[in-house]
Amino acid sequence: MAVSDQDMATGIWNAAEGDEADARPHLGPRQRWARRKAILQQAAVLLLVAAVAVFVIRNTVVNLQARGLASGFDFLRQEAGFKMAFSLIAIDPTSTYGRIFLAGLLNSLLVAALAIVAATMLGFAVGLARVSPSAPVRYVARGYVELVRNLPLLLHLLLWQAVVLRSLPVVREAIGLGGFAFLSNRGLYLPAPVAGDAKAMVVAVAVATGIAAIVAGWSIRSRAQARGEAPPRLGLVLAAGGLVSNAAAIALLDWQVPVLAGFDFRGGLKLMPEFVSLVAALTIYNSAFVAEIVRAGVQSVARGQREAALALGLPPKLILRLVIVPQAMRVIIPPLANQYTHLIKASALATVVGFPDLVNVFLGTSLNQTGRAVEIAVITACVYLALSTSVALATSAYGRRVKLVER
Amino acid sequence: MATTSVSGNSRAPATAAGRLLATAVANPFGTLVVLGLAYLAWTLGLPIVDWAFVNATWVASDRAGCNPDGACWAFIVNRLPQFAFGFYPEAERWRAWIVLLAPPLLLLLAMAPDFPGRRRILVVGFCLYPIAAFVMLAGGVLGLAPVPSEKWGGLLLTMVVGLGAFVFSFPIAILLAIGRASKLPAIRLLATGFIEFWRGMPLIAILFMSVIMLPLFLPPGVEFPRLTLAMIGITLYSAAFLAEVARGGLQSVSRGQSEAANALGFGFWAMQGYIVMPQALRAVLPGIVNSAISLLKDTTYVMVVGLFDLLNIVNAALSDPAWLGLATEGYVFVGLVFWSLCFGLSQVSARMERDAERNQSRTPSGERKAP
Amino acid sequence: MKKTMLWGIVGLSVMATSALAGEGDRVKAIKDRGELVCGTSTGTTIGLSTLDASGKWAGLEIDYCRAVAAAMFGDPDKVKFAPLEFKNAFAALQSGSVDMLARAAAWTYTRDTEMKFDYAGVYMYDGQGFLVKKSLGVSKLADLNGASICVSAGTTTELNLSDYFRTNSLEYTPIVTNSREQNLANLEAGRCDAYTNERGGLAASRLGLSAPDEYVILDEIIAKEPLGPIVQQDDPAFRDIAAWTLFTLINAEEKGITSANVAEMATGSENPEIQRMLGKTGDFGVKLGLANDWVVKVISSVGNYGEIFDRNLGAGSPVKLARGQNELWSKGGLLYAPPVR
Repeated sequence: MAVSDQDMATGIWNAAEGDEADARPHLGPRQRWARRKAILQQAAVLLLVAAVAVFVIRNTVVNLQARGLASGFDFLRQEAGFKMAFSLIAIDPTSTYGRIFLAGLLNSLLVAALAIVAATMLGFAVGLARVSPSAPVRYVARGYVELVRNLPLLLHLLLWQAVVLRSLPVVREAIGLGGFAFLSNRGLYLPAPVAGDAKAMVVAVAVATGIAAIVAGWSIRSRAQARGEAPPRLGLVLAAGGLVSNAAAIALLDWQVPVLAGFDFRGGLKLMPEFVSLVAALTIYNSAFVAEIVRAGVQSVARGQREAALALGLPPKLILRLVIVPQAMRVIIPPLANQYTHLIKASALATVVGFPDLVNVFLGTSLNQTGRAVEIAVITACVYLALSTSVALATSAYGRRVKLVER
Repeated sequence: MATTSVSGNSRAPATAAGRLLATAVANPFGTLVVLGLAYLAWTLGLPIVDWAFVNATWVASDRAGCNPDGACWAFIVNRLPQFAFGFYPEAERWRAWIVLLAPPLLLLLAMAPDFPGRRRILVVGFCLYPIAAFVMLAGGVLGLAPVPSEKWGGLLLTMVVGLGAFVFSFPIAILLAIGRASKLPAIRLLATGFIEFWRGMPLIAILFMSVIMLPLFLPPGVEFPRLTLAMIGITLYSAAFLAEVARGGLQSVSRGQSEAANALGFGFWAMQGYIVMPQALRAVLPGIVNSAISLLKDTTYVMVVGLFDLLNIVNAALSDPAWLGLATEGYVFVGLVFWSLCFGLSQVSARMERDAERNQSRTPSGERKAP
Repeated sequence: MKKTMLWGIVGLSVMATSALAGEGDRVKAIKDRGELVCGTSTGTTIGLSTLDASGKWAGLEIDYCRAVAAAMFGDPDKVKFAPLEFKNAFAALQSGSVDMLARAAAWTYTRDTEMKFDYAGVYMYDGQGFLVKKSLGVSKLADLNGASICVSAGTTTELNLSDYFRTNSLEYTPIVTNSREQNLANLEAGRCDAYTNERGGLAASRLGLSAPDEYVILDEIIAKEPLGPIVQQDDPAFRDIAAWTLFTLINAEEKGITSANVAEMATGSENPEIQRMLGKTGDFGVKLGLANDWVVKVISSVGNYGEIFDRNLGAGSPVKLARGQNELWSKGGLLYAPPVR
């Protein structure tokens, strides 16, 4: 363990004894005692924790044995026998619990990803409005933030569900949106490309290159702007080419428009109302927090930066984008990542409205059907810990990069 | 805040009207927003006012007795005692009243102008509150009739869970924060692991595991009421978040402070208790209040384990056949209660931040004076 | 190093104490606690378990739990009700956070074997049916092809629904929620076309809708749903108490013992079986570890099975459900309890 003198002296735990202990070969009796004491203390704490762990595991084993409960992960290969209302991978009653787990996890990730993107966009807009030069805009943004963030997320969710269920028409009176999309309290029906088409591959490639071209074009333009040069023609051409390629690809696909048949619309893509209200509630609730993070970030940028940019003759629109936001991002990113972790965890509220997310289908239905409480709880815990750890790792990696740029 | 404005205008006209006009001219976009809002207020606001006040019914015995064009507040009025106290026996309600009214009184005190001993009263009040509230509600001592925790509900339960978990999580959080900043690797690792575990889990899963599965981890015969089990889960969850706030505070305390304490011969715990922690916690007081706000909102999650907190009890009442279809009224009521509590707390936090700033500017360097 | 050893000893002794704690003895645990913990629905299952505005529980399942409490403590109020969503119910029983479930859970092979539960009899013979809006014009199940169907998470009804529609090559979308009230709210809003559950429960639930007359229960039954009290397998003595409480409620109806005449019968009856049941002769209570007059306490506090059914689901309730299969065997039903001998 490589601990410098200074660290030892300022360490919080037991700093009084450890002030001069280091890796030098000749230790005085005091230092040796300090070292030994440190080791003893750690050993004691570790033992205590180990004892508690053993105690808990023992109890669990005794309790499970007393109840004669089966254990093991073999249930993941068993047939589950129930359907899911919404899944990204095909689920039918013959699917295994393992597949149900996967489908639930994907649903959770989908909700979290959509809500993160939407909450970030809405949050940045509101956050920048919070520092807008115009007072009314600031007040409106402040009102929004105060209204939204002081209500429990669960209330947001129940409210949205009530609104979606009660104010939208029943399926037979669905609102047509231009004849190809429909909205009812069964969900939002959108046209979808027919799957399994040989064209799909070509189209996917076309869309990907199109998007790449747009991004490249945009970045060339903005880089030129940053240097104060006239934007080169190439950027514009790339972006336009990308747009055309995308439009062509979309037109090329066979689109299936949802059609009302019997009880429900058939064909196309259907978004469950539970999904819609969950994403809406997560987005709106978190956008208020993102807005506050953005506001704090922008305010953290020294005034002199803006004044210097003005003095250099940078147009005010560009100051925000090229001077303020990049610097604010350093302050914004860590709490923003924290907020994302919150959001990912909060997506588990899906279980309250009945959207089949991981907690609902796995920690809920699967657990009740198989009775493997401990195994399922452990798997679920591991998934969420892995998710939050990966967000934390990504953030700290970003933090390191930003720091290098700074120095 | 004026400092937040990105506008370049530094000279302002003298009169209010003049200022307004100047703003309108300088910010056509802002003016548009104001006009848009006025329009919205006219088209949306008026029907809302009509619904909520003009056509509202305040007294009725069931849904049929309500004006269908307005809000049926009679539902809330009729059920108010239940929403406030759950199933707490009527004869003992005075005890619940005391428990419910104490936090707002403390909050008012927190907002009140400073007087000698105010902070001490606040700290002692908030620390003693959960225990006093628990004794008051549970009874069985001091001649109070025992009331089992299954009977507690509504706002009362929200308060007990929120404030109780918050206060109990405090000492745990401080130990965790000290542990995470420790130079002993084993302790640092354990504290970090503990914090990250509880921070990484969804509260819904924590509640499920603590209420439904915790008995599996306990020796046979050891049992706790559901409320206690839920409180254990929420307390540890909240402790992990508070620990991170406290860690931020620890980092803000300059090294010189602990070095000076060492030099003066302070032991480790004495140094933490008298020198480091008071400064660290004072530095992050707003953060602590913000944690309390999140915790208060998060108490609504106890719905998933069948405890009847304010939101759940209102939600359950919505399925009463005599009062069907009143979700809006119910949720608006719950929203108002939570909003005023959380907004009030956030004002306290903002005030603390201002106080801290003022204190800092008063004593630019060296020791801060005790308030 | 001394300190390390000291801590080691502390740790070992902690383990030793935990090792000493014996296997689960449910009856002892309940008696030590002084009350029974009964896992119930979230309080909106009309007729079976409901929680009213004043915090009082009522319903057939509630009365059954009270009967068990009366048997064990001589007091029907020595019971605590733990409202559970269905998907949490079995985990709660497995972990021991409730002693018993009386929660409209059907007796199935998996639950009895794999989950290691014991069913202490059947207090309600039911079958899975469908509640639909009349205006949909659905008269038989095949008409529900392509429909969205509301169902509670983690139930047998969820699995039966999937089985039935699969074997009959019908399409459907499950709308899975956690509680009866959510399902009913969804049905009312037109979020789903039908709500599937036990028919008895559906008949009762219909009353909780704003316009009950606009809904109808289809005649078809897709699965058997024998509902009964569930206990763990860890204490056979407790299972016996739970089972014999139920048998006693049924036997009492058969023998004409009611809450009104039980006191009088306890002293005056000449029928030897009634004398044994009511503790005048024999050791019916003692063998179960209960007071010998336990049946008197049970019947005087909740009545016999017929009274309980009547009060909560039958003619004496708003549900007006016919006894049907839940009639005594001697009157053409399925209720048949072993004799007290």
